[in-house]
Amino acid sequence: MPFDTTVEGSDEALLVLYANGDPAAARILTLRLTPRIVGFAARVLSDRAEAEDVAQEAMLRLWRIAPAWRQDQARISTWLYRVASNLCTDRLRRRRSVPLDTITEPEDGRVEPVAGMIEQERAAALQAALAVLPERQRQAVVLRHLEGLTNPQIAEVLGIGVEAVESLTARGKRALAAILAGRREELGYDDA
Amino acid sequence: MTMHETGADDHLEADLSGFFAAGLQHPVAASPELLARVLTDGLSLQPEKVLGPVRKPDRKARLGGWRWQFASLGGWGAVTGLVSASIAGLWLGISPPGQMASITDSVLGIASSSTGTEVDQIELLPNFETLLTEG
Repeated sequence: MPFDTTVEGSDEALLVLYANGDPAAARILTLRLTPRIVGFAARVLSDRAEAEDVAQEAMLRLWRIAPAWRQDQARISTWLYRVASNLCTDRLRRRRSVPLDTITEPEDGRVEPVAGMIEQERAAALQAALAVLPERQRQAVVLRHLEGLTNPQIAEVLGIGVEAVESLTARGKRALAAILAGRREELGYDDA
Repeated sequence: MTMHETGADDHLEADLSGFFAAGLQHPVAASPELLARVLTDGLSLQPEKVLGPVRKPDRKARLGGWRWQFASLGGWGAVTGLVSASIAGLWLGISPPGQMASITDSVLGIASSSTGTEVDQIELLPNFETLLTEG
């Protein structure tokens, strides 16, 4: 695929180029931002198809706002996470149950088979545990520990204060640990 | 945060770090189809390419006709000066001041009749009295 992820330049600079009609900027932004948003949405929704819809809708809103984007606005990635977060919340409210069967596929050749299976099972267990967390805790934990955002950035995404973010992530992690505690031995942890 | 809470958080981090590491090793990848859809959206919504600074409409085209010529001279100020200078020149031609003759003579190197030097003068246009007497 003729995408180039190595091109330097901030997301904001690329969006200006996009708004000025540079098609290369559209390609770079697509490849740079879409995987992050679909990854986040998949963690929150536990559904790949819905996550892809959310990512496409979030990117669509970015394309539309590009000509009017102000440089003093939030970072584009933060803005996109916020849009995706709201879209995920809307979808979660519309459905009653959360399917837990959408787990990421392992990438071939990255780890040895047995170790790879354990890693995959741990990832699946984490996803299953995330799925039963309250939505806000889940979003905060995913943004902090899987998307790598800082607490102030998460506060901006979720529209809450930094202290509230700390509280959400702490409670979320305690809940995760409690859920996963019974599976540690099964998943290769030797706590003895 | 108390020391007890800090220790508990550290223990929590240790418990979950393996799970988070596993989660990071198995990210949800964006499918090529999704990337293609997003790019198609982006290109279809992309504004036209800006080739250079936006050109203002031609000043001549905006003003049109004599107004453009008027503006090209420099506007009201310049035209007023030109008209004043033209009227002054015309008036000096019709009724030159008395000193002009001596100045002209000195510039041309010709002494006026008052200095005793004869100068041949030819009347190309008859004066008003001649016209009255000769018709």
